[in-house]
Amino acid sequence: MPTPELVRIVMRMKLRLGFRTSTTQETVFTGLLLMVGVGGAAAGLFGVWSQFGEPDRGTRAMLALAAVSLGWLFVTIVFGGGEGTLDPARFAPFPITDRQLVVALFAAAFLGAPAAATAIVTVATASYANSIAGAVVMVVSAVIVTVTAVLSGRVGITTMSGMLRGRRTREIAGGIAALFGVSIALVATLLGEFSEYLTPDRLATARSIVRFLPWAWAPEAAGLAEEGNVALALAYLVGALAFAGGLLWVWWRMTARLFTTRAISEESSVGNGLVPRWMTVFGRSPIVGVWARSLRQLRRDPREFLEVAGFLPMMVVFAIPSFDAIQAGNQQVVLSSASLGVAIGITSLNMFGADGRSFGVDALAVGNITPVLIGKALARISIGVPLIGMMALGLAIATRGWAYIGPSLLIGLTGLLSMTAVGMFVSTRFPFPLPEKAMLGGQGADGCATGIIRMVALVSAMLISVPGVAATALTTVWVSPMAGTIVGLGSVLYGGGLFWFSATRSGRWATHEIPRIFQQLSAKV
Amino acid sequence: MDFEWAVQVQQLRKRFGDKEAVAGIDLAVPKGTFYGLLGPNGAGKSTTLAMVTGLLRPDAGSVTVAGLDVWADPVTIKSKIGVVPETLLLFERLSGRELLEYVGRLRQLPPDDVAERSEQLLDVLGLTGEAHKLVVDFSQGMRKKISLAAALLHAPQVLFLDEPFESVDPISVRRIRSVLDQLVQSGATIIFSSHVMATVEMLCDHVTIMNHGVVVNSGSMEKVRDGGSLEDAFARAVGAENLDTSDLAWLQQGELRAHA
Repeated sequence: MPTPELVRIVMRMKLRLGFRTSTTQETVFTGLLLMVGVGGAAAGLFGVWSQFGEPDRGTRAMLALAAVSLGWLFVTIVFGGGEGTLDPARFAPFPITDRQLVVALFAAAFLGAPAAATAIVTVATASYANSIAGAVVMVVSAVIVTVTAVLSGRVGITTMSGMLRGRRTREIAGGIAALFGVSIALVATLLGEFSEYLTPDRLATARSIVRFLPWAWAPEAAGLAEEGNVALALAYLVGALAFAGGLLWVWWRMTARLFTTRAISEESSVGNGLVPRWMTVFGRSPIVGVWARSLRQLRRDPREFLEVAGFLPMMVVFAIPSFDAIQAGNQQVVLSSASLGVAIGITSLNMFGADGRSFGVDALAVGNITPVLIGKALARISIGVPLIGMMALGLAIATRGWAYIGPSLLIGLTGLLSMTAVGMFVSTRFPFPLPEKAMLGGQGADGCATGIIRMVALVSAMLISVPGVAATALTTVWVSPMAGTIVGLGSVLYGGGLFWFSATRSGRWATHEIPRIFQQLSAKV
Repeated sequence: MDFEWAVQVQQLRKRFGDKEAVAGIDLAVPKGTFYGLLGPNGAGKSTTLAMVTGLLRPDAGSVTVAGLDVWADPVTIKSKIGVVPETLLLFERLSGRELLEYVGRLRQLPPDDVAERSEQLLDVLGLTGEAHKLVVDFSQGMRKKISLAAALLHAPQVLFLDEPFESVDPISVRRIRSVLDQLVQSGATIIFSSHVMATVEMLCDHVTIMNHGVVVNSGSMEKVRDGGSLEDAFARAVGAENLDTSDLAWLQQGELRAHA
């Protein structure tokens, strides 16, 4: 097949796959992407225009272009790993050479809103130029920045495409993506908060560091051209061109490797034994089996792991308002650790979600779902209690509020028992399967009602836990931690009663409704 | 409890939207037999097995397994049956050995028995070397085998197998066949669906052929075969005897070369 023909086919395929949508959600998502592209270009142009009068606009342009160039690498590594349109491995069965494929993929890589927005914004910076020669250098620089950015994105995606063949790598990448997303949000917030500190001196210092990165060579050429140093700018341009060529070569090699060889699959290996030794003291009942299995799953299944781990930052969130209290040495701040009980308890609202059709193992083996519910809830409680204890201990060390650790644990346990009681009810009545590829853009089978159900469940759980939690907390604060501990034991009994009531009722209901739950969990996601 | 029929199904029906997946079928599976449930894709076999094993509630009809009404006493029924469904139900993040231990615990078997039976089943099915790997990393054939091991662990009185030999290598098929033979000889009943006629013919003494949600032929193997092969009988029953492939004449190499 002639190379131009392949280029045409691949470009058409990218366009068609990019705009072909099968569901309303995808249509909305594609529309949003387009809006982000157009919006990004508009915002970039506005940014270029707004800096026009700044005396250090060359430095600002250089830093912005470098950020764009590097941004492509990071964003595609984190969010572009699942892209299938340009995955070289998918072209392996066809009678084409790797050179033809690289040319076609390279051309197709420039199709799309992000590349167009990048090109528009980078070329717009040429308007800063003070001379024709400077303008020419800045336009050339803008083109190289765009090419470097797109190539960086390709290298990132191809790297991920190779790495993501293994299940474990995919799962780890999913976790990294989630954490990266949180980090980006934090950095954006911090930049917004501290924008007044971006003085010309600091920007110049940043430029003097950033220009050592090859991604910043073309932007540095633009900055130098704006400042009238065309000769040095040309030198940077040569370096930038060489770097872009290097990226192209690296990407070519990687593409050819993916095109002609398959990555070795990863396989897991674990030690023997389902039930850990410490758990054997609880006997041999099915409850212990489900408890042990759920703990394994919470650790090994990225969907469940991230659901629980995602609540760990709540420790920080809860701790932030407590800073003043900690600094003031207010010992009662230790009680705030109990709120983690509610946070971990939220994960019990769809306890069968990650099981999906595997729910059939429980359904076919025991028939009675009550022990399954109890075992699953115990797994969450046995994770939540130590976390509450760790946070309480940390706050107690900071404030010397040792006496408050006991009441905190009891309040937290009451909250956990109340939350899981509601969780058992909601998990059996409104189960929905979690997508196996949740970390790579898989869509769940939860409808729009799920959020409302979860919110109602959360509020209900908080309301029913109030008698126990409030009694202990108020007694601890108003009377003494010792009195709070005694009342707290009663609160745990109250929470335990709720737990048992829900487990038996929901278990009986679920046992009768196994086919319905099984069908709901069998939805393809 | 003594019973004559391992499974009895009467006027079983299930509808999904406009499609009647199972349209009022009757089945009677004698105890201690190897019973084949055949049919083309979409015939209603898997839906029937799901209803018989309590995973899908029928719209109408009754099902008794081992003399007990499936929908009146599901917990007792589940202690007597083993199931290997077409879409395997496995906890992906357990290792093969952990999965068997888990199923043993759910069925409240003595731990020593679970450990001993697990090792024996893993050995017979050729999974001993892979038992420490997570199920999510198993091949399709290994998943079938570990699913079968989980279904056999409690020595069920009635075993339901939906396409048990799909994706399984020939050596393992042989091993599985001998295990199943042994189970039937001990008095258990096996009901299995398959597309592989040779295997069904070799193993089963009774067969039922389904098409479009109804039973189109049923009885002993001899009766259903009616002097010919099972494949011929199957093709006759589902109306696929004379398949016209003349439209695909272009597949002949001469044709291909002519266009190349």
